[in-house]
Amino acid sequence: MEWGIAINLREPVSEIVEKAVEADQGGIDTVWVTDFPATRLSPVLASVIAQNTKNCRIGVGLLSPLIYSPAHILQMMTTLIEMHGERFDLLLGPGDRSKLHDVGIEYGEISTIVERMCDSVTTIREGLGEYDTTRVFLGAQGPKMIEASTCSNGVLLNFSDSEMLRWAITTLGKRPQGFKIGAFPPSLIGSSKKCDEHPGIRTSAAVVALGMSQSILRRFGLKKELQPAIDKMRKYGLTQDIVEMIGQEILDRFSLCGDIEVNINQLESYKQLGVDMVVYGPPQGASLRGVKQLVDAKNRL
Amino acid sequence: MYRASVGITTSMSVRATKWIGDNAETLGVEGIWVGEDIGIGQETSILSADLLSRTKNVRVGTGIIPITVHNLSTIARGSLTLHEVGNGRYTLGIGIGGMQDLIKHGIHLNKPVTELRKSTQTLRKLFQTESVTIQTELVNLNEFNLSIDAPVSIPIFYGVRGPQMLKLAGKIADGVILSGPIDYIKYAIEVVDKAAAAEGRKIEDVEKVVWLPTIPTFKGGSEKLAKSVVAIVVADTPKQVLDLLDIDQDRAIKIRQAVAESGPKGGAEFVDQHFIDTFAISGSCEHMVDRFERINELGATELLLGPPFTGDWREAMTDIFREIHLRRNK
Repeated sequence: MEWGIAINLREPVSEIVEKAVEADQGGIDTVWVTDFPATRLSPVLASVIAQNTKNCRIGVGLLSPLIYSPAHILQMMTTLIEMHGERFDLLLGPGDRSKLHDVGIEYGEISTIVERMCDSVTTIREGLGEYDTTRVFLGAQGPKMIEASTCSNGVLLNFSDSEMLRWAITTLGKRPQGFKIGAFPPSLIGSSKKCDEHPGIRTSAAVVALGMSQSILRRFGLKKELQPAIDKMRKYGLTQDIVEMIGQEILDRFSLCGDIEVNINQLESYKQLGVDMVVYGPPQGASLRGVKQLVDAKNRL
Repeated sequence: MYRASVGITTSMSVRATKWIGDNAETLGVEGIWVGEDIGIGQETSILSADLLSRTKNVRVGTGIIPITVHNLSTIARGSLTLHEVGNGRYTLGIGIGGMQDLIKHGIHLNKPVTELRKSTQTLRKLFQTESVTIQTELVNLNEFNLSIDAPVSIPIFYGVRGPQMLKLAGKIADGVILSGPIDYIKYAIEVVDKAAAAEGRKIEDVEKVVWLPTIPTFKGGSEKLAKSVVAIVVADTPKQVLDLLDIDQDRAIKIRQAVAESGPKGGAEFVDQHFIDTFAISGSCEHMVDRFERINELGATELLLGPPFTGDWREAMTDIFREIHLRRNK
């Protein structure tokens, strides 16, 4: 199982680099550098991280082809590779709709969004042709994007729940040779706090749960319970009150949280489902302590 | 005294730009400006970050990033990131972009001066921690902010040409990046200074960076190349601009015709030293530094040694910066 960690880009550059170095030295396979709506530009930080680390791969993204043209993304990736070697992977996806609206970007015709994402993936993969170890992943959640993700080298799903992952893998159908399936859920492994007492993991899980498509919510019987919180979030944005409206048992389905034992069991279950990689999403990488806890969990495996 | 810097473009190889970054401090390079050849070569922000990481005291600027090609929020985010990577050594150079590039990308602006002004004001508000809502021909932001607690000071320079743009630079920019024939540079500096004074600013509040083609004719560089480069520049310069210059106009026409008929080499036959000194900085090491000093006397505050990098350009660059610093220390 490949281990990744998403590094939060809200802190100053020096802290971001410190966390990446810790992950690299601790044997984490891939450090993912997230992009918009984070303020800092992830390809720039990917370059700085590459200068300061030795062994880890560096994942760039999620980058949205709605913000950056495929040609620009390709230029970013080739520059990184030519500067630092073939250590980079890329995650593409449309990105958060309301945050994109804040910078004047709209999804456009929704029925073509999956096709447009795949066109971008194809353009970028063709452009990266000579760099055959660079993987281009597609971030997916809904059935159409999951099915279409075979245009890429792998799909990253922000589910943690085994039932949802099983459904996604079934929806994907026959996967091309070498195609990777990854889980990229909000995570907090190794914290001494209980999951229901930690606002960071609860909020991150709520963001994912409330952002799920209606079809997914219906499929997993979550619509009735989550709809009031979704309606309120549309009016006021995400507040702590809204997070409190969601039951812990639902938040648990959207996050990977607990002690090292919990993690070991979860990874075993993922492995049986056919998951190849786990990217530990926020808030795990939000603090140096969280990175150290993940390194500890990996070393104890 | 002027700031002695290097100009590079994104189409240069990683090997070449790494060398410049690694040797800048030793050579006494005080600034590195990265020109974006839109869509070609290295990505501008990543290249700038690499140069900032390889240096400790050198100012690194983008000269320029076209606001017509990138979302303004991305320019703001990139600037903030580079500001942090370089511990405050980053300068954001923006502009509308070259006419040919705009045509190539199907971009047309009705009010380019207004767009540049509003974009500058928006960037400054974002750098001051404000949330911005703005809708213009080019920019569309809704309650967008950079999520920063404290203001950041990122100088904004313009890469502009026309008189209205130059006036705007004098009014609100922290600096301006100029290129063109020497007589034009003189005119542009006057326009910028006049606009700055009219706005109640000191003329030294607006830095003037001059970026001309620089072609050493020593260390493997040749006068032949210098003449070819100048022939291209003459051919690309609008006729109205050429008419204003103190040059042999018949010769200029011959150069343009020859370039059109048989390319730069054909045009080069008609290029003499006066044309070279009008459109470029070329010659021996001493002559080039003399030219830098002459342009400094016109009001330029920073001079760039830039492309085309040919011959043993590393050696030539070393010699030129040594000469600049020797003269300073006299």
